[in-house]
Amino acid sequence: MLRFALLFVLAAAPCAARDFVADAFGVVPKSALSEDRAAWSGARANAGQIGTAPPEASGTVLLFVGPKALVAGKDDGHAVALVLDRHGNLVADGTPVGFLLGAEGHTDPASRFGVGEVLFRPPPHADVFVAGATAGERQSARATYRVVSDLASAKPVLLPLPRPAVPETLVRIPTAPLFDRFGNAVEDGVGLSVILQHVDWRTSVLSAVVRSGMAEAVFLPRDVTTGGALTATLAANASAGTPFQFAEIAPLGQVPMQIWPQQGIDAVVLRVGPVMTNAGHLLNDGTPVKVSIVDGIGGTDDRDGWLRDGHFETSLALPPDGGPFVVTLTTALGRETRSVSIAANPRSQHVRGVE
Amino acid sequence: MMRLTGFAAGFAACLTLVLWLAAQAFGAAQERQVTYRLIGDALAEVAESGSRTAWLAPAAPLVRRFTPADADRIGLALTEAWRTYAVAQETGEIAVLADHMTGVAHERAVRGVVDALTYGGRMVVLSITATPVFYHKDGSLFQAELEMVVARYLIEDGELRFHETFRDGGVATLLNESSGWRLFSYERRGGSALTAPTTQWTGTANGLNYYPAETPWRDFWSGFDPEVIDADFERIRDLGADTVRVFLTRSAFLVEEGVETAIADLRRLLDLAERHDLQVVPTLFDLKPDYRMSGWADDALILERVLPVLAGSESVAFIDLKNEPDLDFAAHGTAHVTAWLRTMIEVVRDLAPHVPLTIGWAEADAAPRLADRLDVISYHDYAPIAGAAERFAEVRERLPGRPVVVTEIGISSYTFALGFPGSEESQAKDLARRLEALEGADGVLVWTLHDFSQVDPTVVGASPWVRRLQSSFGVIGADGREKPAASVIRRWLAGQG
Repeated sequence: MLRFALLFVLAAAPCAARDFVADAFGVVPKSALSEDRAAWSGARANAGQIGTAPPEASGTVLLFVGPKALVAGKDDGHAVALVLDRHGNLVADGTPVGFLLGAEGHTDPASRFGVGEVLFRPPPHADVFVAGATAGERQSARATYRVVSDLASAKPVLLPLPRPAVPETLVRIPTAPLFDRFGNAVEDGVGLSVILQHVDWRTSVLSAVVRSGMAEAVFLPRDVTTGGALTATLAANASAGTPFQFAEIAPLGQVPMQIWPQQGIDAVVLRVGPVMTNAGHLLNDGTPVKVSIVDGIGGTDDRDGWLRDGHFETSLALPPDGGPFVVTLTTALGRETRSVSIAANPRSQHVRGVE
Repeated sequence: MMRLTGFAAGFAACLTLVLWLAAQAFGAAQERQVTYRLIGDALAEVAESGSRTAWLAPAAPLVRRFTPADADRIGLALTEAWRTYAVAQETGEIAVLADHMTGVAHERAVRGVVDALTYGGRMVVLSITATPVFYHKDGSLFQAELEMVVARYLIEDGELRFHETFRDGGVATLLNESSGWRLFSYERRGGSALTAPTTQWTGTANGLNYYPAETPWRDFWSGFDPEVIDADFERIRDLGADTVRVFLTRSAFLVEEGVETAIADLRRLLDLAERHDLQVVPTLFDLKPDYRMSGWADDALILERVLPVLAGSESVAFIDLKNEPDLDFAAHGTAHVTAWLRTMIEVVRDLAPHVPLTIGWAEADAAPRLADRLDVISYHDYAPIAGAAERFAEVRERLPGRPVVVTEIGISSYTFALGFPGSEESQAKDLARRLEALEGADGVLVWTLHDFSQVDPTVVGASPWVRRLQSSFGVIGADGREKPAASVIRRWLAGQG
């Protein structure tokens, strides 16, 4: 019987209200409630009764201003202060909070759950601004926010190129200074795309990055000889087309020419080449070539052919002792006339090895 | 002649020794097994991690739109913060708090854990419902009003000195930091105790405990077969029973994968019972392996899932909150288990206030525990038959005017040799004696309908003795025929009608 009595008492014991304090993070004997825990505001149950301990005056003001990059003339900023008393409790609802945003002051007269806030439209000039908040006699640390240019209103303009482009030579393609509708320079690091639409409908795509308010794309023409129109695009805005031209391909210096006697018959061999271009390559295989030769004793000969490995070689029915020979070479790159004297057959020279 | 006498004496001595050794082994096997062979069997099932925060719409528009993705991420942050707090109080590992708390909340949680470890107080958040009230335009700061069901208790010198279950109102402030959302501040702003009153149960509950023959214990819900249950319920009804006691395995109603099926099967089982005019006593949290605080929120979630189904069924007589929790006192601490029981009682009352409630204690001695919070007093009686009537009378005397149901009695018919330790005949006789001793109870439920061909060793222990014993408690044999005990029950139930 006693055993049952004990069990009954034990079962009922937890219902009895002793001095325990139950708060947001648990329960402790009232006699063991620490000073810091006793300072937590909010609801606390003691001996079955719930009471609410109020917070104290402002002790810490935490400032949150964002978004951090506000587009000029478009974005609103949100300045928020989280205000706590010296024990870390949220301050009482209705605590007024003041904000200084750049040079402008704002007030939230009625904070709630420790939060005071203001939505604001910053002035439309791009800059970094400093913000601060105050609650009671406390102020926050500084926070910063930026106003950035309105890229959507910045219209890129490409500057005309001073000279035609030359293959294998870097071409710099600059823009005019870039500004938005408020006169804010576009920030360093903003990217643009520059597109060259060739006359044969091929496309070359370049990128440019803004630096000191301007952008510049760099183009190295290679295997491209057709010009066209350049367009720069920033955000959703495209510039007007700017003409882009290539200089024509020209021979790279004089074309070497050699004439030597042909063995066994009364004739000579003419060899021209290598025919080099200012594009950095030999004139293509199969390019038509015409040579006209007049010797020193009134003899003439003409030959048509084509280049192979940049060279053309042919036999001429002219006596070897009739020189000097005036050779006129005509290719797609132009015409060249030079006097050439007879020389030894370059293929008859022996090469002696050296030990 | 002398040689013959000596031989007989020696044989008798050997037989006595063998029987003594067998009895020792049998007795040792009766001890509840609390050690496990495989670590997987020792670990509690936990629900998959995820947000457990329920969201309500903001009362006023927020400066920044609160999206479903925000609800997931911030809800998870809240869930994890409180789950970690429970873990920290249990383990003393304060370092984990910084993963989910910062600023004021972190400082207070550290203080809370230190005080918890020093003075024995504990706090567990069981559920969270949140209403957004502030969201910074740049997504860095967020506030919500919270409604949380919270259990607080304090154990001192092994005794439960304080317990409450509250519905708290509070304000949570979270910061979106480089590692994600963390709780910066939490302030409790008010609360009310969960104190739904008890309800009444009148009537009787006579019948059997039930598992199908081939899918007992852990296999019941995964192997749910409505046709088998339908046939078994018919047999139970044919015996004259009006009540069947079933078991809701904790893991079946916790783990996300399969829980929808389990709930649908629970509905189906209740419908089948109603069709056969049977009352059901559902026993919750079966095979719950421990009482760790970090699992209490999962337990509350299970109640949220199953109680609407149980409360909505006409066939539920009363709910058995937990099977034999007094057997868990030694391993998990009486005060701690009692705190869990009190908490879950209050949550059940809050969610299903009109469904009567009991706890299926393992022994009559425990029956008066928490009686003031229960509607039906119930216990199991496997103790020696000689004292059954006295034990019942004591319970009646201690708790006058309360309905008392003995929700488990039974005896194994397993025979090792020579009618030891039991037989079908002795099973029938013993059941008859015990039922007679419990005449006057408001109900008796026999363990169990079927013998089992497969007995789960993780439930009863790995000892072959115990498994064989546990396989033969049924009144229907493994071959499907009624054992003599079935006739005893049929006669008894006819008398109860």
